[in-house]
Amino acid sequence: MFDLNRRGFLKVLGCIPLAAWGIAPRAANAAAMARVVVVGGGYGGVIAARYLKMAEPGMEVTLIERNKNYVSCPLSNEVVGGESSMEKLTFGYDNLAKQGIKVVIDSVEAIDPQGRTVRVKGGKSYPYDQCVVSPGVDFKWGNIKGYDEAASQTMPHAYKAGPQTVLLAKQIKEMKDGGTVIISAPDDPFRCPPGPYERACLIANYFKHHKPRSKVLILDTKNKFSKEGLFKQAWAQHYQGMIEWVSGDNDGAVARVDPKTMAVYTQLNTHKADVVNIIPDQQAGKIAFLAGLTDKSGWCPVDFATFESTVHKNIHVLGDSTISPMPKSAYSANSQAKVCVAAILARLRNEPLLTPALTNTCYSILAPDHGISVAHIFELKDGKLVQVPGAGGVSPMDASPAFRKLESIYAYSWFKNITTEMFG
Amino acid sequence: MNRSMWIGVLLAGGIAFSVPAHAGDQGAMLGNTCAGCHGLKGASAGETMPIIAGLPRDFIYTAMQEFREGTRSSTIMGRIAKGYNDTQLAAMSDFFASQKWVAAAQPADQAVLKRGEKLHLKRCEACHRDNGASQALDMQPLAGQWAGYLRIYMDTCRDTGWKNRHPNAMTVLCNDLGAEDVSALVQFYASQNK
Repeated sequence: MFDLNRRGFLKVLGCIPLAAWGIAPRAANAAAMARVVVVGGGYGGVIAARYLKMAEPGMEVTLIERNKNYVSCPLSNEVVGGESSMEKLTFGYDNLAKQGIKVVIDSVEAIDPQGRTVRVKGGKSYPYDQCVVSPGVDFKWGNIKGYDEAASQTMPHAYKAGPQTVLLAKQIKEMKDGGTVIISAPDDPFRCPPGPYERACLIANYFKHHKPRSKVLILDTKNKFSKEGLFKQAWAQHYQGMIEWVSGDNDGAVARVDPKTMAVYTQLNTHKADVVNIIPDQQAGKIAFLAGLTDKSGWCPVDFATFESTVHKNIHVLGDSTISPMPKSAYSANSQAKVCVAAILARLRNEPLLTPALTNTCYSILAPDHGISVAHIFELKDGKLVQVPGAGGVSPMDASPAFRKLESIYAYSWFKNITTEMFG
Repeated sequence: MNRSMWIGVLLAGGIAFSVPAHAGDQGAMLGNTCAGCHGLKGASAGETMPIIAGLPRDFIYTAMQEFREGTRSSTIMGRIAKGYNDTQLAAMSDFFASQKWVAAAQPADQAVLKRGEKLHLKRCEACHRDNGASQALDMQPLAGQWAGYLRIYMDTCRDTGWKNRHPNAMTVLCNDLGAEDVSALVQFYASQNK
């Protein structure tokens, strides 16, 4: 048999006039022969790689990820609050490799949208027919004076799960009773909108049992936040006097920090704390900037029917990095990945696009046996992504303890299922 | 088929035609949104989240309508079901009904199986036939379903404020079951691992 590589084969195919076949060539074949490079092995990228490979076992799917293991941000606040361990959040890529996905552990240095290649730090270039980029978020280090990567070793952000999570958990554990933890909550948009407030709950929960005279002070840039009513109800119910939230209008926005003195400065006040958790303002992940996929907002515009970048053709962007009315959550990234995969397959197979179905489901644990949720169902209307009227929304206020307990139980099954779908 | 075989087929001119997207694909598009909570293609790996892969089509369809209309209580499913019309629910139900039922991988507590079986035969078998495996009359199979989910379902049946499809029957049948009875029953279904 003659030896043709994929690209060569596609060229040969392209040279034969379609009329010579009398029929359109089976476009599905082009999908089986295609090369797709997925950059970023998180909630978006892993699902994209896996669903592509499931649909087209012959497709060459390459997943490039910087870290050897994945550490989940969802449920990482439980580690901060001393209720869980990093092991439970950590997953390897072995099963993806077993499914025939080429897993490359390396950092992406450049994406060439014209030449259609992804170059990694190790020097190798990976050519693609379609590229999927799911790079999460990066921090805008400059927005709070004095807060940079070095400062995060003293005042952790713990907003990318990993050593930062461990550091914050350790500081809280070692803090004296009667101390104060400051959480500086970022401006919109940012990943996991309920995250800072769930964190406050789980730290207070730890204090309640181990350091009952201690407090959590949330300094916020914003005047409202996700699931606010439900959070405030839980604070009153479980953490009376232990959690204080200061809105932006009440001088909550942190302007400057001094890691040496553990001082946090707002416009009018100076706060001293024993543990300072600065969650910085955010923008699209670094790779999105490297590839020129961002607009002036610092996030990536995409077409919601395909999640293809509106800046560069044949590059798709998923998850936190996108500009979208969907919350920046694990579930959104998961849902977007499936729509993106369907669109890539439709393009390669020369089939019509399906109607995208996009959802989000997100649980927060506010105390043991106290979970709350939010659901979103989106539809595409005239190119705009909008919520289906009357659907979705947050858990009811004043729900029974049994209801809250059920939602906490479901949160763990949610985690089990969404991570098994990726790594199982 | 390997690559050289594909080429052979192509050269022989025997290649298939481009297959247009069909309704099934839209069902998969809708059904895939459920996987984050209910597992890949509905085969839940979480012990409190029901396996929905391979359930009777009409069971899923009706259950989703009930969630949407509020005649079946839930924490979150009502909010989600309101996002879909009947056509979408039908496509979704077809998708899950066409998947293979995979029983939950869970150990069953052998010590309580006899008690569970006795309770089942006395109270449940009349509808949930074949030791809970039956899907006749669009019955949700209990055999091999997650014990954690079944326990929650039975607990909520005892809660008179919680609505289900057969509130009269299920409330009457469950309301004098103690926690140990419920445990025995769900362990029995867990042991019917098919």
